[in-house]
Amino acid sequence: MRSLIFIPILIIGVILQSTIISQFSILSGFADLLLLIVVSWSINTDDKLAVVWAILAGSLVSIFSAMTPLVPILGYVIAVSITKSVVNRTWQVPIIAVIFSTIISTLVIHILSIGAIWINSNFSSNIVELIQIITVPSLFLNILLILPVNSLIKDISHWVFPETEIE
Amino acid sequence: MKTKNIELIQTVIVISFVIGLLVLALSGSLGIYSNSLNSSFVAAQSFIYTRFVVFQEFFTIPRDVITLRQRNTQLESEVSKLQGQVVSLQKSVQEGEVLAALVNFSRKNPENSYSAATVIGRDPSPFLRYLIIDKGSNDGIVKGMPVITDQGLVGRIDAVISSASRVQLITDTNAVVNIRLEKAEKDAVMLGSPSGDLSIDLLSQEVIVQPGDVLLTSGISGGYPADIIVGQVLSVKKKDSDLFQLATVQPIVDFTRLKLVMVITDFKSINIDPLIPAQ
Repeated sequence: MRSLIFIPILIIGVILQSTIISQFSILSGFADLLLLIVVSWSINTDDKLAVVWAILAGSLVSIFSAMTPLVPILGYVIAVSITKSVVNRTWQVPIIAVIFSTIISTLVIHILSIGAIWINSNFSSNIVELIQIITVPSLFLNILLILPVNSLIKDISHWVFPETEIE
Repeated sequence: MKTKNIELIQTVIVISFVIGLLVLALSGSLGIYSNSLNSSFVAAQSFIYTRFVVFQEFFTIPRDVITLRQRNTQLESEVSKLQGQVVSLQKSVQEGEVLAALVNFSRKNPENSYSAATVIGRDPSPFLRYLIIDKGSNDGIVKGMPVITDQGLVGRIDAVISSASRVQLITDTNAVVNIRLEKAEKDAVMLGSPSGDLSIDLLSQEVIVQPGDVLLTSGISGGYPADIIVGQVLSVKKKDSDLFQLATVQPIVDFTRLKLVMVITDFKSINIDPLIPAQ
């Protein structure tokens, strides 16, 4: 029940994402705060409900976004799976796990987003151009933002689960 | 008796000397001597006063520094408070200017009814171009209403809840705007893209298009009212081997700085999708 604290964190996260984070862009890319929160939570806790929170995070994003709901939901669930898998393999070097999970998760969500747009619209843009002006800047901002987000989520997770010492 | 006489004589001599000096001084005979004497006095006075001031400051300045520091702190706090007020007032002025421009626009275009709305968010996905505004179905907003600013076309309402709406910008991938090239007097279709670039596709080779040409909404297909400024032609790609020429468009509205928009509330968009044959 303690992990219910993650619900208000997600709600605050999606509001910040929609209002503030989306304003700080490089070219056309910006950070995905919800993804970073989900990844950090998966790394810092042994919460069995991590996949549920990923689905909730995706659903919250769907309220604000015009993107097909399947993209954020599936994207965040895959992100949790990747993170758990990476943590199990690189548990001695958590910072590498954090950054590696962020990179892979960002790429997965962007691939899903491009796929969804390609299916739903008359998509005729150059993929390389999209990667250059959206994916690469988003990736850079995600890597930049994951460190403070991870620290914050780590503190919260230690407060929520004081007996858990994953790292 | 003899001593008394000597004292009297001395006194008389001194008095006589003083009176003599006064008479000489008053008559101006001692001018040269008095000037040099005055100069010496002034020099001595200046020398002593300067040293005295230094000596006085040595003891009084520390007290003044404390006072000055207190005063400085007080003034700094006042400056920061005033700077805050300046920023607040500048923000108010900017909002006022935007509102004035919107009011001015609505006065110049009285044929439509407008509802002003504040931009409160953006789509969380970087691949989509949507805004969230603070007016919803409670304010009479319905899906399909065009959204504009005093500069030009912004997009149209895509989804509505009771107190907020989502606006699809004309730069979005799924946005299609029927436009008219004002100079060439030809209709065309403008498309958005995931990168936010606008382009005119399927433009016949015969149409003469040049950078800087103004684009207006044509009103065809019933998605937007006619004659709203959309943007300008930025560049034209034309190859003789191609069937159509391609033009990129610079939108007139800066979508990154949008704060206030207007929804045209009396425009009923027509959905012609059922009339388009399925592919």
